[in-house]
Amino acid sequence: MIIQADNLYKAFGKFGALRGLTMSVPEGSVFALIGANGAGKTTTIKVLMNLIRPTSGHATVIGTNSQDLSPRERSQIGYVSENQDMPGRLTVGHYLEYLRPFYPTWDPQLEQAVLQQLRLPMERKIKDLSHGMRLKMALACALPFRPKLLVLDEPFSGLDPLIREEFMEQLLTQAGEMTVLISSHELADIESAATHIAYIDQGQLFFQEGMDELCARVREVRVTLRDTAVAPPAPPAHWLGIKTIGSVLSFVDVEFRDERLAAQLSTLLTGICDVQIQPVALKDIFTTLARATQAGKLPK
Amino acid sequence: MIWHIVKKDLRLMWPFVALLTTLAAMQCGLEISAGTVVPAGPMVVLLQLLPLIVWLSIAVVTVIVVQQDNLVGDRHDWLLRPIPAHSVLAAKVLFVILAVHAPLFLIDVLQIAATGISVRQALIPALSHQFVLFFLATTPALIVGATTRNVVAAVGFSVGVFVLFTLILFGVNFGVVRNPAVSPIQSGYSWVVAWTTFLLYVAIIFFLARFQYRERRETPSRIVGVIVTVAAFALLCWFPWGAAIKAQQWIDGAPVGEEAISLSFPAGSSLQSLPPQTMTGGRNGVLAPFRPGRDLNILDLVSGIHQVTLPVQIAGLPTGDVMTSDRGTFRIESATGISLFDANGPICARLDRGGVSGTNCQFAILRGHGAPTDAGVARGEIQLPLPTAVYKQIKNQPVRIIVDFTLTWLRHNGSQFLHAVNDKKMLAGIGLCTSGVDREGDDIELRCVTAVRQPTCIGATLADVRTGARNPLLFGCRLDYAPLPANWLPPAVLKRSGADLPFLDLDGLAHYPVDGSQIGEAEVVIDTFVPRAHLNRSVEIPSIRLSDWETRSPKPVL
Repeated sequence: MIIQADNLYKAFGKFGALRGLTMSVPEGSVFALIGANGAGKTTTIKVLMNLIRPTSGHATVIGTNSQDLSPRERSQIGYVSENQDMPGRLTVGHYLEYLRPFYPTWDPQLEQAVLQQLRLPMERKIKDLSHGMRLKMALACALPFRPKLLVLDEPFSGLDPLIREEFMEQLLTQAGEMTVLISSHELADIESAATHIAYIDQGQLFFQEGMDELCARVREVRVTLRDTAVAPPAPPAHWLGIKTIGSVLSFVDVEFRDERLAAQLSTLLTGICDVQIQPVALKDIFTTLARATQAGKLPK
Repeated sequence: MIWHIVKKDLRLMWPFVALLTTLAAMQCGLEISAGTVVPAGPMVVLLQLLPLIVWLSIAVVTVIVVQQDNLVGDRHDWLLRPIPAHSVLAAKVLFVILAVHAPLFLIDVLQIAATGISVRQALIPALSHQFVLFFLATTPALIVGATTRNVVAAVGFSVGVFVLFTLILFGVNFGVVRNPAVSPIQSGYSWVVAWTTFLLYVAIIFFLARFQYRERRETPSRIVGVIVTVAAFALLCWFPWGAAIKAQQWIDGAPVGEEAISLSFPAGSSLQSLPPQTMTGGRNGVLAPFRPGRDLNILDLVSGIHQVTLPVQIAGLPTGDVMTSDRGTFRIESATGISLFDANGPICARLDRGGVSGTNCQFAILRGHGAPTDAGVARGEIQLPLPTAVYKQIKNQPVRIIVDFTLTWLRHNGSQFLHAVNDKKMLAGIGLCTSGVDREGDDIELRCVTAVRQPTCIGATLADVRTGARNPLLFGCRLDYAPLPANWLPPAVLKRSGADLPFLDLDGLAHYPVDGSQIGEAEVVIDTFVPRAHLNRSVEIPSIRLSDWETRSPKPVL
């Protein structure tokens, strides 16, 4: 594992931002950290990057205690965040020039390629860049040294679709062997790239698994009944977002298994005319999970 | 890597550095154009304000450069880069030295050299001035910058600390005014206190800065920073006398020829037998920061202190030399040896003609130079402050008083001359001096400017070389026994001093030996005195009744 977090707690005053978070990021994965606003995604990343200290718990990044990250490990980590403070009075070119000597693996050709693709104005001061440009600038500063781990904290926030696409394109082009940890609300953008996903809420991890496994276990189920549909009084805990419209009962089964679903449907419902089972988009999975979490119905 | 970071900071900070250098250059220009005499009006204000503004600007630039790679907060890009924190700290210090202190050092050299001394001689005063600024402005700003988020927060934090300091200062200063002999910072040993405190302070603050750069824990760092700063201030105020004296003696080596000097209570004497007093200072403004004797004052009256005035005499002091008191303590015992009162000072002194009572109850005894002597003995008075209640209780009983003095013997280091009217000359050790008749036409204005440390005591008088006539000596001491040949006290590198030497009484009540008719041919004679030895002496006053000595209430002549 390139990142291993064990039982992380972080409190800001009385507010517990992380409450025993445990997760592991496999090497070479594109690991998406999803969760509602205030779930603790950014705090998790900041703890992992040693920008803030955990109140308790332990994390390792590239095999090193996150609180002891030395320049050697940092030279293998790229970081892009919407809230990154770079020296505003330096130009893009000067800042890249400043960063180069700190990275032994900095590749000038890759730098040129990235800059060309991102079309950054080298002579412009960083403080004069737009929000989108700044994020592209942060990416341009994170890729040329071919980091082993690239951490992206809400990289698409406030970006227009064109820049978002450019950003992802650039990222995927250069991804290679690197591990990417990405936290984002823009699930449509990361859906195609993510290999693993972790869902956190209120500072706790609800699940983490491979994207394929997640997609395989989450299905939208639409049951057409003979009569007006009524939600079963005691549905299984893994049926989320139960809705009824006319004679149709729909829900998201977050632990989908063919045989079990058939058995449960026949037990809980009568007069079934038709059953449709469809894969669910990541965005819808997230929405369903977030709502269930808010309602306190999400099984851990 | 360190130099790489410095170059980045130079690219970002050059406008601030340029502004600071411009301010310092302006100050330098004003100082040079002012020469020995500061003209009245806005120039005075500017010359007083600009050094402080430069000092403040150094602190602000330091804070800004430190915060270019901010430690407080979790959004700063550099925190995620493979940049060693200790390299960043080293780069910040190097930046401040190269971009702030180096240009100011050059400006200082220029400014000092403009007073007429060589560039080589100007190096040490300029360097020591920059050292002091580094200790007093850069070092605190470094830790303030490293523990605050931005300049506004740094200013807010500094203002808070300043308010705290003002309160402490108020309390301490009130105590010091009442009890001036308590702290060696008020004496010629002040350099030991100041430099020890500075060095300790810098060492601890740099250790703290290193901690902050490694751990980024601003709250504990801030707290420790404030505690260390308050502790440094406390050390300045309550530095142990013994340590200061030992350090000075270690620097000086063993004193030679001081055994013959003794201080005693003149048996069978009375204060009435002393000649009338002539206090110097006040209107005549003795050389540098002397005030006329501050003995009985409002504070004493308010706080209920009764000053007991007793005579003292000093024997064995070579003619022309000076003895100054750095510290005095006294205790009073009953005739049977029971301790009645034990004081840690202060002891003020009033002296014979030619002597002077200095600041903070230190005193100087001057032998020769017009001062009356009886068989090689110089005489003066000491004042022992007693709480009124204690005084009333013991004034009518026979008591024994033991006074312990820490003294400094200053040898006469020669005389230098300047024409009384319209002369300008570089005087060795004193600086560039000018002389001329003042606007009223009754005084010769002697004005000097220098960055080099002046002799500890200076006497100045008007003399007619043809007749040998001399006017009364004006005498002053700036007690500083530092081994450095430079003024180290902040904020300005150049220090001005002077005296108004009277030759005419416009009221016609007094006549001077060198008067208006001779002034064209007269010369200003400047005598300088440098420390020769530091010594301790005790004076035992056997069996006296304090009420017998309460007749005189000295009034300084202003």
